Amino acid sequence: MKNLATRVVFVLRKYFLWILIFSIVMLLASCLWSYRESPRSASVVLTFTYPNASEGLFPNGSYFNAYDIFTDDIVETGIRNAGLEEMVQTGKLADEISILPRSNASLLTTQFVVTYNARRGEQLGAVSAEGLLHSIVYAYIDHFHNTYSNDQLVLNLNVVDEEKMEYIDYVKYYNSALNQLKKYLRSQQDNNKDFVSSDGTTFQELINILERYRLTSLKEIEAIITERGVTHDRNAYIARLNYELWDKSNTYTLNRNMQELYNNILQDYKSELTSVVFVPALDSNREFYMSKTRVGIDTYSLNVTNYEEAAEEIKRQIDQTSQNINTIKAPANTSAAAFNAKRVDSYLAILKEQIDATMSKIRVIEKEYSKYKNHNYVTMTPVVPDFTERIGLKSAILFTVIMDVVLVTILAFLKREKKASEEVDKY
Amino acid sequence: MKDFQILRYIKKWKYLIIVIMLLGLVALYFYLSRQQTYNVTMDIQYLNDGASKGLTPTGEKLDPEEIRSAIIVNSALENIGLDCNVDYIRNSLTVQSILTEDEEERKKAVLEKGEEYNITPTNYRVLLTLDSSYSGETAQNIMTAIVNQYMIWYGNQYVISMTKPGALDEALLDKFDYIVALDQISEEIDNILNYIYTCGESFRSSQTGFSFYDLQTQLELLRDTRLEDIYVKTLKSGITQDPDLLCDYYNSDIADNNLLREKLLREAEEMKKLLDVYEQRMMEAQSSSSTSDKSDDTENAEDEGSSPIILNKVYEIYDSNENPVYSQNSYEKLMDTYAEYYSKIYAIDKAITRDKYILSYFSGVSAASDANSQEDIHEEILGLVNRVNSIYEQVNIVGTEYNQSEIANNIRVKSSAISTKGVNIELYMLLGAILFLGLGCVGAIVLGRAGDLMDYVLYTDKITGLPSRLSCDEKIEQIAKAGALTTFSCVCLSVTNLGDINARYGREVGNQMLADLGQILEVTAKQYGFIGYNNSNQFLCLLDHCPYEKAKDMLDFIGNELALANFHFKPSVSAKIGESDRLACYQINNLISYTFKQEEIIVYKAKNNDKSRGTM
Repeated sequence: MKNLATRVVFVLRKYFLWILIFSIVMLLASCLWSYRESPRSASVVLTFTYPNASEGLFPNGSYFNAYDIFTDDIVETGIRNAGLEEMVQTGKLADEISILPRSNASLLTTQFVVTYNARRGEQLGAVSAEGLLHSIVYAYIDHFHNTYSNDQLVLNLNVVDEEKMEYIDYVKYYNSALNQLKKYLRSQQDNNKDFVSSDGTTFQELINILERYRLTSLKEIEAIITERGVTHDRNAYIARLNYELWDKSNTYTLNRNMQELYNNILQDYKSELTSVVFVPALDSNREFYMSKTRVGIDTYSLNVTNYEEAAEEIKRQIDQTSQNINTIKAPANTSAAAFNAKRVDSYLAILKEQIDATMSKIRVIEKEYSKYKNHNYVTMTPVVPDFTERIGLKSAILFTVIMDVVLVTILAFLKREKKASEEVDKY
Repeated sequence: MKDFQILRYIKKWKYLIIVIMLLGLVALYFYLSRQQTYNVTMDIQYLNDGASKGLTPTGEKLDPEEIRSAIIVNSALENIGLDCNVDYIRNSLTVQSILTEDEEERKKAVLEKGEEYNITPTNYRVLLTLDSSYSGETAQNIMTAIVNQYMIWYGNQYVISMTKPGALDEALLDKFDYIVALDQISEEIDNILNYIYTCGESFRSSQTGFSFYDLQTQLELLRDTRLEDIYVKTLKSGITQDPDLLCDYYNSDIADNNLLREKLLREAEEMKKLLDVYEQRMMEAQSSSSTSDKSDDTENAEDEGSSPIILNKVYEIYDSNENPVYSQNSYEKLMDTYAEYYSKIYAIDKAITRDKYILSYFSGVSAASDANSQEDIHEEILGLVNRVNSIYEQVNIVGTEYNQSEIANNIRVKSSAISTKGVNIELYMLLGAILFLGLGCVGAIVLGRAGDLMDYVLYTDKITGLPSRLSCDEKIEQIAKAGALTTFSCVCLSVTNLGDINARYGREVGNQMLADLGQILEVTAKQYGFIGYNNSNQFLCLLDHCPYEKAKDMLDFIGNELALANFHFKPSVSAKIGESDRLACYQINNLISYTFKQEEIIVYKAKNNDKSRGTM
């Protein structure tokens, strides 16, 4: 053998079959090892689809922080859901999960790649790394939906949550609940005026229904209660109305005193000390006008008006309360009172049924609208490695080539040594 | 000496060149890895009204450098559970302002007009540069954590102005009598409502769907129905734990309020006197100033109105809130203070009336209420407390979201944290490969040429120009190390007339004759194998793969060349051939020994040396 190249060619020709077998064994071994290890790592892509996401905000307008995705609570829930609470520690697992923006764009990204690489020796039982990661990500998505979309409590509003209330209080509660629902629907409608649910309902229709309940059914009930003095406990209610009367009279006096105070101030005000200044300003049409600076006398005049208005409003309420007291105090026919109470009860029951039926429709449109508007808020796409990636084909080929080179070099070297010793032995 | 052939040197030292390149690349890789830096940037924008004037929402000076403060960096590192040098991270953080395209254009336009551009930028770029002891991913995490922490801190420091009220204490009834506890509950409800009024009713929570309006109406309704109901029941039935203590409580409260009322009345009267004096003096001042101005500059005074002293100051002096300060403010401030005294007095009057109203129900009660009544009212109040607290929980959630939303309305992150490498290792490795390859080649050339020089000095016979005896020895040793010979010929050439020439014409002529022979052998014998001068008039040829006949051919070739040569003195050359197969000798040393024992062959016999001398 004159040189290494000749020896290598010689070795390759002589041991071709053995080298081929060795290569196949190495390739298979490497592929098997990669395949066995592949379940220990997994990736998913989280895509935030709601409108505010691209502005770096959560759906409620608060600032978005992707790195808050995996808090201990969420990771713990994910581990529990995967049934690994006995085997995996929350703190350690959180360290093995990385979150990186999917792209290097300079804008705010809405896609993040979440990767979990299980530590060597970490026992995951029958669950793969992919299974555990998915469990954690689903826990996060659940948390996200619970926080920002699911089961709006305002829609679970218990219209009347008080027992043994006076009839008139029921009216107030229904009125308040209907107003709250109406405002909620109005806020949804402001975002999308054309939205129609699968059963053909629009937000405006529902608002109209609720308003109808408020202005007709509820008004009717209220009229019966106030005009006919329907009560659960007549004396207790009169006592309450008397207290209200006293309290309002007190407030009325206060308002009148304040009105008087500012009236006196206005009387004593020295206008010579309060020259006004005209300042150039722009109106809503972006046109110039000379705005007058506000001075004390303006404020005091407004105060007089405000206190007077408040006093008059309280006076109206006092008169109303007095009238209610008189109505309730009037000698009543027992059977008529019982009849009226029964009538109000039935009307209230019907109203409750109607509101419950409307609530069902509201929940349907709300659910569909939320889905439409937010595209499920956040979606998860598993990054599924294909077969060649799973068996690490590229690495396996590289490994095999390196091992072949090492083998051939060793064989060529051994061949030279062997030849030399044979020649020596010959003589 | 051998010719200067670059490719020969490179070919000879090719493995060394590769090794140098690989070692160089490995060293370069480790060096670059140590020099690697990771740069992470995030852009933030201040959105509050005063930001373009360099002010925070609370009116303080805006300082984006606060993001580098120890409290923020330390908290951020704690949040991500990283234990590293806080000061190093702080030093690695820089904040620089960035101008948007609009701002750039505006600045350009203003500067072109020769005016001063004094609008503070509202966009800033935060840059974190970490060394190779951190990974790019860690740098990203640190950056994000710092910016998040800064936003929380900034929000708490400059954005969130309202503190959320607390929930109701369930142990209220252990501390107070029923009616007092109800007053406390009413007060707490009012506190929560005041908080809601300040935040504005329109904000709606994404988490619960409740708006402040919803919670406000729920609380107001609860106050006006259930609380009032329990309150009236307690009053009407005179339910109390200890009537004497309760009466003492309200009597004491009335006494305190009366004292406070008297104090406020005195202060109000004093304020009234002060106002009268102020009005009088200001009127006098205006009157004299107006007269003086009219005498000095009548036209000017008429233009500015009847009170030039006051109006001239309107746009000249500003207070900390940038409101103009002028004398009317002082006058109205005094007026406001006067009004405030009386508004407090009327509120106290109302409270005293309320205390007396409550006392009217309990003054006639001589003993604590029966256990059943107390138990009933206790339960009802507890139910009320729980209901208020459940609404408060919602207020808390909406309030938290409202605060976060307010923060986002005042400061916003404009880009995600993206990590870039400071050193492009791949590019430097490519350049390094080229550099080390070049260095290897230069080294090979230098080494090769030095080797040539050394060979010439050590292994070349200076007379014949052929390899010296030392070189012959090394060649023999090399062949011996290679193992057994195959078809190998060893030829020993001798100059038979050298002694005669030396004796007759001198050593110089003899040396010249050897040099001439050397030239012939260099051209002829070298084609067959190695030839060197073995001293003592002997030349040694070591010819691998050379049978006896071929060696004989070589001798004939040499003889012919000598015959054709036109030397002054021609050497007489004889030779001995030892061929391995013929002699059945396959070890070089033995073969050489056997060669010397072989029959001598005349290669060339010089005839005309005398004649040649005659021509000299």
